[in-house]
Amino acid sequence: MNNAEDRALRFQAVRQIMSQAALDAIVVVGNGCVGINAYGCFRYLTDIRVFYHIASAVFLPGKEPIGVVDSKSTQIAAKDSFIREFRVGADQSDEILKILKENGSEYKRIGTCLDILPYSWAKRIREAFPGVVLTDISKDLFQVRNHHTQEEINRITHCGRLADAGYEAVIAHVKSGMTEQQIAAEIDHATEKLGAEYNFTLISNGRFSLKDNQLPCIRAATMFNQTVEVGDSIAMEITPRYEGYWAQLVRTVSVGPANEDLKRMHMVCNDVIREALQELHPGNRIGNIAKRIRETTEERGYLFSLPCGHVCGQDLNEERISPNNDRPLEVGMVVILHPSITTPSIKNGIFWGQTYLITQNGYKCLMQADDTLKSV
Amino acid sequence: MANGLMKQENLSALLIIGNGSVGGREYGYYRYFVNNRVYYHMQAFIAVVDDYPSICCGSATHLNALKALNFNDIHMVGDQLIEGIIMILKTRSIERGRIGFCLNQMPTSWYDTLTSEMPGLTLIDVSGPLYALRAIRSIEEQELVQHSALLAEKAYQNILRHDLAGTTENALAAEIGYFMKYSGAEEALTRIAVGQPGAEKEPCGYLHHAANSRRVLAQGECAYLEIAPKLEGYWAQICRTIPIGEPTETTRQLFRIARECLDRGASLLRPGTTAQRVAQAMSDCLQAHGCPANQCYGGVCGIDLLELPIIENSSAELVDGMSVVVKVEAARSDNQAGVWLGEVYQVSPSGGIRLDSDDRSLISMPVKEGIHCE
Repeated sequence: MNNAEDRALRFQAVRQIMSQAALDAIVVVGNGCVGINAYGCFRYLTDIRVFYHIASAVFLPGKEPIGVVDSKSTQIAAKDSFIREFRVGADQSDEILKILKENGSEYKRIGTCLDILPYSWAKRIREAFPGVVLTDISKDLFQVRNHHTQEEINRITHCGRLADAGYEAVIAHVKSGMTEQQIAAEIDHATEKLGAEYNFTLISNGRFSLKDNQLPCIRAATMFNQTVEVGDSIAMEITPRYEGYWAQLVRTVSVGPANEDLKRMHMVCNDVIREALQELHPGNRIGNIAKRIRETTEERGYLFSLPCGHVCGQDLNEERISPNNDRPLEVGMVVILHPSITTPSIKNGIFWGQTYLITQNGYKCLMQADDTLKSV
Repeated sequence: MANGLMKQENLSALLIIGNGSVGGREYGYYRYFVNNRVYYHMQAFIAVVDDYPSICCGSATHLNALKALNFNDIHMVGDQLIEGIIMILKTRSIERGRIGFCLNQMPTSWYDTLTSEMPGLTLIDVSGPLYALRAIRSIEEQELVQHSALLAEKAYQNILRHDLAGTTENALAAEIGYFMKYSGAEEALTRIAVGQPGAEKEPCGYLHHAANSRRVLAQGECAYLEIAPKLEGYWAQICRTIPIGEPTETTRQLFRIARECLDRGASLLRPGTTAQRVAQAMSDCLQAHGCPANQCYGGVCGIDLLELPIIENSSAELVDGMSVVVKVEAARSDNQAGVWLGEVYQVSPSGGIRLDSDDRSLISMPVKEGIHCE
């Protein structure tokens, strides 16, 4: 990111968390997984992308943080990150213990993300400093991460354009006879040419029907890798990550003319999303979005199910949009809406949705793709 | 095999966790037993001695894949995976005794919750015995690595057909990734470095993931590539150096040294040889030509990209049928030029058998005049 303001802001947050939670140090660990909101903490504090194994960093009161990596190439690749000093070692836990010991002999409380810290590392820290308490700071960090700066919003907005490019590639290149894997490759290629650092592309293919539905739940393309035929529908989650930030465009396209069931479900899905957009304004409970989706789905005679969306940022699924989520929306938050609408006869509906930025006046869609049902 | 290991280690169950990271050998255990790709968060496999296994996953997308793999006891628990694991263990009356797990792969929160909720369990790290199982490769596994190695080679040769004039690192990486994914790779890890290294750097020491790098390939430089596809769960890799423009005599000479060194290491890939011996032989070869020794000369690949490193302080022994990425950087002693070369071999009694067919010639790329680094 190489942004001094964001760096200062995040390090200030670390100092506050250390002070409030009476922490003697913070040890954060990052890996290459996609998922819940603990994964993004390392990236948030260091701006180091982990695409291989694990990387880590130690924060000590009043000192510059120290990055710990397992190779010089990782260190050099992180030269533009927030971290200025590195230790390199094949066993990173060795280096972490050395750093901690160099800076004190007694540690009572060390902050970390317990969902990411390998137990083997925790064991060594606990053995080296008997009585130390490893305190989970994922939630504290997540509270800070929720306030996106303009720089972060710019990145997420750009990521939305990459998702558009992935969708445009599908419209331009996909034809019957291609496999799901080849379609996914087209999506990834289109976004990576524009700078996407990773793609979480899910896809499925089959004939959509409200009676005998053959369109499965989306999945990684290589898991089934079916061939696309005329009359099929292709469902996709197009999800690039750009400089650490996610956006998602969810679309279903027809191979050849759309069938009537697909058109009907597409219309319902868009109606439900349009209604839900009224809930996208700062201060509103996240759970109200899910409630509105449920109400409008059921009013139209369909079944509501989860997931219906999630909040994204440095993690793809920072929190679920579910009826019992009481947290408020705030300016700069990014919300992905993709309702799961079904009938008693089908397990999966169609896949449709996009990413919205919460603004002072409500929301802004981050994609330029329109709402029409397209054919390839 | 899981059953045999549980009996051998006197375990009631095995708890194997999988996530989507790429790296050392700890990541592949879940894939080894379940053959399901974890691309979101984590999943867990619970093997019970003399009984059916259970699987804990997060969402319907994985549930369907696991059903297709003929697992019957699958529990979809959203993001509450450790709670799901505890529920499975209690339901199956595994509340006391020894449970095998992989120390490096278990999140601390899971370990703490598990030991707190189920104090009758003793967790035993079985990473070593588990890897001993994985080290013995079936014929099918050997073939999968070979397919992956051939895909890596094709991805490299495909790049040679492109006009790279004005190409950025990012675009080059995107093309390589596209080729591998379009051809069936479930993952593609490409690392690139472009340039003439400065005296303070190792020539290939700054290989990186090139996303968003707008650096343009320039005349007189070299593109260093590490191309690694994962095909049906198995990794392979090819490492190549492409001079941009006519290679210098120094580059040609370093290329010959790299080949000689690689051949020296490959010849030692026999069952029972230690990683240390291979690394030492390659270091000796480099140093005999006045080149600095490398820290690492690749490693065993398979379900994980780097299962055992080929380094001088490793006493790990090679096993017949194992696949090994052997790679070397031959650099001038002042680090002003270097060549990066490597590929996958299969360990055999007569030495390493190459799994790709690239002829390893030094192929340069023409570029237009006037292209310069940004």
